Amino acid sequence: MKAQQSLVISKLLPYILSFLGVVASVGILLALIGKNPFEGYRILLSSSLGSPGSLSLTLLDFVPLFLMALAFVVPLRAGKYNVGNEGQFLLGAVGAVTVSFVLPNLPSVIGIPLLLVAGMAFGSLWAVVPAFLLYRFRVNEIVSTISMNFIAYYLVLFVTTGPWHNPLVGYPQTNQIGSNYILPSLVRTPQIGTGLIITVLAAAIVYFYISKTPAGFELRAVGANPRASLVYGIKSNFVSAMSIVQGAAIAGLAGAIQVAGLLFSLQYGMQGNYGLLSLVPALISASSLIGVGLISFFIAVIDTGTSALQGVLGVPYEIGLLIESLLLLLILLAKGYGGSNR
Amino acid sequence: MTSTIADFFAFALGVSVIYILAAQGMTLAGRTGVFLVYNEGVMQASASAGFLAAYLNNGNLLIGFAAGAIAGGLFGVLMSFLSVSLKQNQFVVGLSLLILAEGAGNFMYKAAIGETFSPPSVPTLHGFQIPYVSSIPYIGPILFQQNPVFYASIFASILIWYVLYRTPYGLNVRAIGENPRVADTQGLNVHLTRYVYTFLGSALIGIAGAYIPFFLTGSYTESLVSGRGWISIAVTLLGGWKPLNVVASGLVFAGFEVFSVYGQLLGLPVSSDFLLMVPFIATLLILIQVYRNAELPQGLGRNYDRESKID
Repeated sequence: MKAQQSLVISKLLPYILSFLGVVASVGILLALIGKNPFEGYRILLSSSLGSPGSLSLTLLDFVPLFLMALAFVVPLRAGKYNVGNEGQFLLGAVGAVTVSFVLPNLPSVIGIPLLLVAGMAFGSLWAVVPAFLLYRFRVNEIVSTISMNFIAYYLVLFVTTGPWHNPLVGYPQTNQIGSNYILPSLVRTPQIGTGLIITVLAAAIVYFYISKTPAGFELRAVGANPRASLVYGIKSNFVSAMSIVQGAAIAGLAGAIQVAGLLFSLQYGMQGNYGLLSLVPALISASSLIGVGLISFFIAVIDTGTSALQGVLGVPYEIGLLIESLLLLLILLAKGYGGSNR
Repeated sequence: MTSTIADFFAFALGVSVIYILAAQGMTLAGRTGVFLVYNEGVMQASASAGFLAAYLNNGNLLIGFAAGAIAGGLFGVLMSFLSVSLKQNQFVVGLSLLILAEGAGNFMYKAAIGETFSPPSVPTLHGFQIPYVSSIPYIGPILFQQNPVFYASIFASILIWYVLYRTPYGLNVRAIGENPRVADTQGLNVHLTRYVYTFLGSALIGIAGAYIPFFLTGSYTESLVSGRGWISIAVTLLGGWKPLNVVASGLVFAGFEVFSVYGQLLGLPVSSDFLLMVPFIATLLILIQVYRNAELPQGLGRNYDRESKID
């Protein structure tokens, strides 16, 4: 029992030390640009967790972050880096508005599920290109999925300035989707929307898929050793290519939820920093989905808090990216000194 | 029309400097076995550092380039420390540093300048008229009226090629990227060489980043790099990690970028959004060809641990 306890502590120690390191370095950074660090911490926490209202904001941010992290984790388990989750997210959003504009009069019971499925389908289809290039020509997925991101940005620009463009706003943005397509919220304060429920459900399905199904076993086997898996009879190349498509479905779902639950339209630049931010939980805790969830929540707290920090103290919003990357780097550092690699 | 064609090629050569320098930097690190994926972020951070340094020194671009190189080099040191010394996965370290760099670039700029209605600017690079040859029709304006950094980048490329492929020292360096264990048993210092080349390569990526505001805009914006860092990876891949081929592939990708700008001027009946996709679609198509006959350094992307029994 005691040995077990000390094992848990030694496993958690790098994370705890890294967290403390991040807290300290953010304080130093705030002091360096002439702000009071303690005032900074207070604003950061109170604006993200301090009230039911602020917790709602954090949860709204958590939904896409967690889903995007899952979209990165699934292929990562097969050893593939799906940095294209941002483009797949955008295509999911395009799919969502397409359903709502092409079939404007569907009842919600059919319409909303259709919108979500369309998001997943569009996201997956976008990933079929890099997945095929990987499967057929062994093209490195990092560069190909990133290229698809940029093509997606311009595709969104085309759609948001095209026939569905909302002329009332001076920004590339489509008209609003019909109210029959808007995700209902279940609890008002703190606001718990259907999006959050779907996210938790999706995470449960991903967990079940990865750890309890034969396909999930193959996925993990390929990630651990593609050549050995091939010898064992697993089609390694196919499994790793398909993992990107599977991850993309989750990213597409995130885009669809963002449209139907928060923005109610397709907007140019709606991907924000979700792509970059989602790498952090996925890379820190690839082996544990609960860890991915916790760190995604932490990042949602930072992301929401730093927006307030910019508004109140005038600290550039990008301090959030610095915090998150520092956490990741310090954990790598701690792991490196602890003697574990990869 | 004739002057448009000359303008097109002249501008493409100017743009190619971004790709050539960044891809040459990747090649340097890659030849010793370190795969850099953070170009996009490091270019953003060094564009910020370079711009700020130049702006605060009365528009002195030389100081700006030095600051960009130092900023890039710093990321190189972090990259080597975490991957070469601490043996962490190179892609994971690279992506982590990419996020840090993306944040650092905008953070530094906003902390120093703040949000302004019209962004501060520095004078951009001037063309350099080489006597006599610059007045040859067509060829003169395209080849001999470029800015000094263009000539420097071509010179640097030839130098890198010469050192890596025509000297015994360069053979040793490449051996480290091909098979670090054998190189180690031959008495070569694997770790030190990887440190040095990752530093130098990242500094070159930094110069490429600083070149963007100094050549294109004269000011810093959040979307300054906008994918060029990622494309520079494709440039390296197309160039097969060989310095002279990298120059050629840098020119090809610069051509795609300039085409997506000039396409509208030439009155092509296509939406500008689709023209902007061209460099990225080209990247995908080219990658197919690249991977069919890829010749990568054999030890690329893998950390070397002397005490490990398996490679």
